[in-house]
Amino acid sequence: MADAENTGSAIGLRDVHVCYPNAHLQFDCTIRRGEIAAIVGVSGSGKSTLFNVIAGFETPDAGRVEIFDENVKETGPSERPVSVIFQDHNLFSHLDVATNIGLGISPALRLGVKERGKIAGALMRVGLEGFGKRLPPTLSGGERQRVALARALVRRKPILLLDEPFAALDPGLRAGMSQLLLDLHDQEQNTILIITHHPDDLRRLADSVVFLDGGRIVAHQPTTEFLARRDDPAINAFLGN
Amino acid sequence: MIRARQMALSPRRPGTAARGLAASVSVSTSLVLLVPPVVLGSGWFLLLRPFGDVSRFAPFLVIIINVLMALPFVYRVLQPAMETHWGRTARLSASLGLGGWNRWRAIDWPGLRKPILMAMSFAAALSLGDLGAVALFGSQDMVTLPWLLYSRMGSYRSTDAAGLALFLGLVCLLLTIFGTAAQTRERGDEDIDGRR
Repeated sequence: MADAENTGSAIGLRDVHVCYPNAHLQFDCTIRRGEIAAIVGVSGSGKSTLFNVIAGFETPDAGRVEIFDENVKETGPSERPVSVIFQDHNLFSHLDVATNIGLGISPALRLGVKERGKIAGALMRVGLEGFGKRLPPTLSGGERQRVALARALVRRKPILLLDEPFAALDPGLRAGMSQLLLDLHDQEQNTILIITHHPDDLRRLADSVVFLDGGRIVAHQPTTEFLARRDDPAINAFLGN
Repeated sequence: MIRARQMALSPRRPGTAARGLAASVSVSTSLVLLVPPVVLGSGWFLLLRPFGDVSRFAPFLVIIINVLMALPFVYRVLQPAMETHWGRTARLSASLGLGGWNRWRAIDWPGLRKPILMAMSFAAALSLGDLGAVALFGSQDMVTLPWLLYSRMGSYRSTDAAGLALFLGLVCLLLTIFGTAAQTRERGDEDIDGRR
């Protein structure tokens, strides 16, 4: 969880507008350094667009996308200080686990002894020691997500974006992955932004919650305050109150 | 052409021009189906006649006409495969900074090798059996199997012609089996994320 004194801005969305033919989304928020923020909302509320704007997969029509106070609106995804983990398609199935992780260090796959050591270390940290030669089809869903997490670790980017990373996992695995994420966050002190549909993930992981409805951020507050809210029908519906 | 179509449609709000370009790319690959190769060849023949002996251009024209004839089939094999492949790998590749040769070598070629080989085998089988272009531009210096077959039939050497036809048919069949086998294996494989 975020340090109380660690209050600088990691991500700042300043009057960001994204226009689609039948929708107009607008985002304004600040995520503090070292914070774990959950992005929640019903389907179609704009969670994925928000994720894509921060990751660099979509360029907004207007506004500023700031990462560590620098406008990165026109910066490509790989140049941003951000690692991403998707719901699926995180690994290339024809490449073994070590090579998949190695792509995070060198896209040209120039991997020397030092780099191979980093890969082995990352695999150990996510509990997959000795999995380097395995191919993704031989791994379970949870193991694949942990490999993606290991790749994020070797990239050493200060911000980690996760797009429903536990969606395909059963409840036991979800809890295990959440704990692993918390442990890594404690060690790395990085900023984590996670899209989720599950209130349980908020309770387990998040310092704050960004709630979207109809393409707008309608609430951004500490998790405990968010979970105690009863005044907004959309939030009540999400929380099942 | 497939990449051009994708790029035209990639913005959030593709304009009328982009949509028109994307549609025209798809349609233009099929237009050649409306024109028999012999008509296409005749057009080139008439076009190039003022520039001298047409047989000089024969090797290039036979290749160009066969490429055009194969285009609809190649496009239909490659387009869905490439779109699926890019759909699965584009965001991850972009986030890892994989581009250009690195991406082609590590991701695109392994992922698209089978449909590319299938498209190439279809194009080769189609070109191997084509008589349209070579009938116009063929000569003593440029003989293809269909042309040889046609000339043997013309000189009433039916046994030779039958043997050549059998050989041609077998080669085309082998190429098709080669391409289809690759595609069958592709369907049985897991997706890029490793799920079956």
